[in-house]
Amino acid sequence: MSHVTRTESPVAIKDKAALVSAAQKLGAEVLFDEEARGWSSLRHRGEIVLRHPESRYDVALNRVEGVYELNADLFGGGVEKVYGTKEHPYGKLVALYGAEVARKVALLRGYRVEQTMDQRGIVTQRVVVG
Amino acid sequence: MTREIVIKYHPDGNVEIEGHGFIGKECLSASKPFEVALGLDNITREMKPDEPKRIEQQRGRNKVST
Repeated sequence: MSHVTRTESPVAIKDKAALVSAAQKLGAEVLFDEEARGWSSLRHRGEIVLRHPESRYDVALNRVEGVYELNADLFGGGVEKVYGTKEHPYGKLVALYGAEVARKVALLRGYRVEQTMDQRGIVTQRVVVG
Repeated sequence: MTREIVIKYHPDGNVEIEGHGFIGKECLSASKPFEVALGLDNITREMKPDEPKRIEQQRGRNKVST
């Protein structure tokens, strides 16, 4: 049995450009107003659809009150492998999205940003204010 | 002293923000734009005498320490 699961993001995903950038950093193709692939012939529409060669199922994102919801067939772990971590099916995507958003905020204010990722998958940003 | 904000994105989705080198509540205003942009909600704040600011966030269970 397989189905599409809606997953709440720990960070409110509102910035479309930052989301696209984060997804592309993970190697995803970003499609707009497209059908996302699920199990068998199941399809679900997304304002944004993330497609990755290492996942047979896509992620569909649609806005609800300005915040993107993540919908995908999580069966088989393909989506989690590409976009997520053991702890959260979209852990990597959310971390890279957050880092992208924070980087924009910092640069707008003239701050310097350094970014690293450790072996546990923790993305750390040092924002030097002055 | 250099003032900096350290933001950590954990694999489980938690976001942690720490301020270093800020005086008093200066760190609160410095980190606020990041909190807003990241959509952090239900934040609980804690003041630390030696550490300017620390925020832990998880949707529905947010924590801030200063």
